Amino acid sequence: MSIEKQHIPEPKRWHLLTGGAIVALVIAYLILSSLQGTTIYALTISELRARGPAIYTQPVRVSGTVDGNSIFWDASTFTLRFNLVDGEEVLPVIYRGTRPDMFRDGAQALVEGKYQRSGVFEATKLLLKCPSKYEAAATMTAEHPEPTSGK
Amino acid sequence: MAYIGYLALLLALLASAYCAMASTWGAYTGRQKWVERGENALLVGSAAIFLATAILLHLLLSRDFQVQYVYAHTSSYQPTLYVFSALWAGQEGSFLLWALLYSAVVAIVVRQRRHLPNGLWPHMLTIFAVIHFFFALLLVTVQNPFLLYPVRPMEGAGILPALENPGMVIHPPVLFLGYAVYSVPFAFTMAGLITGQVQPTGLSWLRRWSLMAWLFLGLGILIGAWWAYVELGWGGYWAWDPVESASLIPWLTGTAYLHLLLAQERQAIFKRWTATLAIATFLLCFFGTLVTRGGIIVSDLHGFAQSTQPIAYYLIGFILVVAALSVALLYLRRDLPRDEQEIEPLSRESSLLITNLLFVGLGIAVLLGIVFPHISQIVWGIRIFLDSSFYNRVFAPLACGLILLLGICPLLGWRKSSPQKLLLRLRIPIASAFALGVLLFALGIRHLYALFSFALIAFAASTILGELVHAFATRSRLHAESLFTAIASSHRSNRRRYGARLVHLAILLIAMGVIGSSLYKTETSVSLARGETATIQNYTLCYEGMEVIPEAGRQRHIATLAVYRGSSYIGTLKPEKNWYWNIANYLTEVAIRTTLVDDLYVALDWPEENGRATFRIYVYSLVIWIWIGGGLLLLGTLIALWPGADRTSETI
Repeated sequence: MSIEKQHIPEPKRWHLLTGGAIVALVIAYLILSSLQGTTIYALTISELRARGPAIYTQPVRVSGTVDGNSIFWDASTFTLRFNLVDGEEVLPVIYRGTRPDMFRDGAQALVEGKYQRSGVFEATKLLLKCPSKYEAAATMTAEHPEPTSGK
Repeated sequence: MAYIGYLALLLALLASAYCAMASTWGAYTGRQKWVERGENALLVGSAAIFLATAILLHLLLSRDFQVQYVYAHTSSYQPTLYVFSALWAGQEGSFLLWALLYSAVVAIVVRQRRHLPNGLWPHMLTIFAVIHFFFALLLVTVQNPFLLYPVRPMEGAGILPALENPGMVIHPPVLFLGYAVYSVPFAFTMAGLITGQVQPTGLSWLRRWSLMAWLFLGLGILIGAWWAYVELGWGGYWAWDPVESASLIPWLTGTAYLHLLLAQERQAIFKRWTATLAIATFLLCFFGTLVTRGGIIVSDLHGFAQSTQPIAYYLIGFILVVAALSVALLYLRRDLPRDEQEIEPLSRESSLLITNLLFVGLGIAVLLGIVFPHISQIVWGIRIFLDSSFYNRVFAPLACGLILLLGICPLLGWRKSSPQKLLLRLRIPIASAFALGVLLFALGIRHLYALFSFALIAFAASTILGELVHAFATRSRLHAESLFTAIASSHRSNRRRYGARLVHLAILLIAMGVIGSSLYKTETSVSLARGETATIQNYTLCYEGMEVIPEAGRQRHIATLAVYRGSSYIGTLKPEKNWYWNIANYLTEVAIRTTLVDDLYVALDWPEENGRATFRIYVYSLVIWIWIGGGLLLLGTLIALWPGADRTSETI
């Protein structure tokens, strides 16, 4: 087919572009509106404390090192208590769920949940990174049991 | 021995540099001799990568722990299979594997050069040589797998136990093969832009390679998901971790690209957009590696690196330079491929355009999710992460849109379709969607989203099946054959088309599995003494006892659970929690009972303590259909790829 003969009449091109633009805008709107309520702030322990009462309702993510001496695990009630340490700062954490495989003294942990008025962090999600010596690898996640949907 | 390996890598570096110069000179002066010299140099470079890989494999098998890589990934008591897979269990090794697969692809392409349009090949060769050079550069600098310790350690650290799974043996090679093959459409597109050639010769050659790249990437992702499901023990196959989602982005753009490419064989439309997608897909493969290995993007699940690695700068540099060159080329050639034709609002072309926008939109959403913490760090000075519900909210409606189009698109004609005709042909699909919706409602399903999405899947599936039946019936009438012969012979004569239909059905099965397992999952955690039972859905599990078995390298704790449906015994599950001495930690081995309807998934959370063991028990619906869909995807693509499938002109 020759290129010259098939030259596009302007109005048709315009239709195509408008149609495409509308679809693109709908997708963009969907993406932006989905940001609402799905954001989690990443804070250090001292930032968390500094943000005071305002942070109590906001889901946050805090990382630090697990203090081995503080680990208390009750397998029958699925309760895991430990202190998360970041430099000088210590954050007591309570997590109800599975004790992850790599959970031990010195493990790099990341908790997601809400900071309580009492100063205890109620984690709904606990993630661990492997010690850096094992570069390739699987860190185990454990999520708090979500309320089941469906049946 | 390790020195010879390093020398081989240096040779690869030199050979690819020579090839790049020779082929550029050959292309510039038009002298065939220089192009041939370039080809030979590139083959030497590829052979050198093969040699380096063989040497690393030899070092691993002979457990030469003086080599840092061998020390870190093998031990003397490791099963041989996992010594092989140690070749790609670490970062340096996986780059070597990628370079190896890339070299193999390049060597095949060199042999096939006569299929390519005149004038294109010397430029493609240059591009292949530059990529080859980049791999060799990484391997001799920041990713050298042949580094030695001053003394030879007595024992190796061993592979990470979680990687001791058949899924993890094949996941990286398949994924990297997908990454490697995507360099072929990239090189073809770039060479086309450089020479300004827009004629469609070589398109069927390109289609094959693009389809292969798409297949391997998709299978690699699926195998990775399967590994996470059976091995990681957190009870899922996909968690929207950056490491996983990074490999999904090139698959999404690659899917968009593939559809346009197939359409191009038929009609020259959206040429520059197609070129952009080919380039973007290639670069996104490197971006995926930057996410997994660079240490810049924070990954929760299996971050390979804790802090920014030197390799990150190499990868960012490569991506930025190639992206800048591509944008410049696309701008310079903005007038060339301009034979876009009229697009009617109701036509195969327009629905392809929407499909494309949806795929690219999904890709952008995933990309945004990955880089969002970094954007927010720059804009607001605080890192803000996006929850997995962000992805679910974006994917649910857009995926529904795609399924809807999957059901409509095949019924639309090229150029123009009449609305009346379309409505007529949509009668049966719409009826079957309603029928399934009503049936599911009658069966007690009240979840609105489930009813809607399963009805959509029924709609799309009946279009595809209806069309196949229609084609067979027509053929049987025309050729006076029996319906069975018609199926067999039209299959032979129109493989591409049926392959594509099978792939679409496979995608629908995967969608069904994903929707079923995300909407219908039940989860419970229980602590049981021997003889006690737990009930989930219609399953009852009775904890019968725990065995403790000491083995080399680990101590196994195996729980025995008898499974009953109602009151009848249906089997035994043995989840394990094993203590590994090399990492001084427990690893969970889940036990899964799979049926076509649902999966019963049991993880031993904590071995017996004070007479009680704790378990996490899940029931997921329809998970198996994801893996069945994966198998069908492979079958359909192979049928479409099979030699001889090219002869017909029908596309998509």
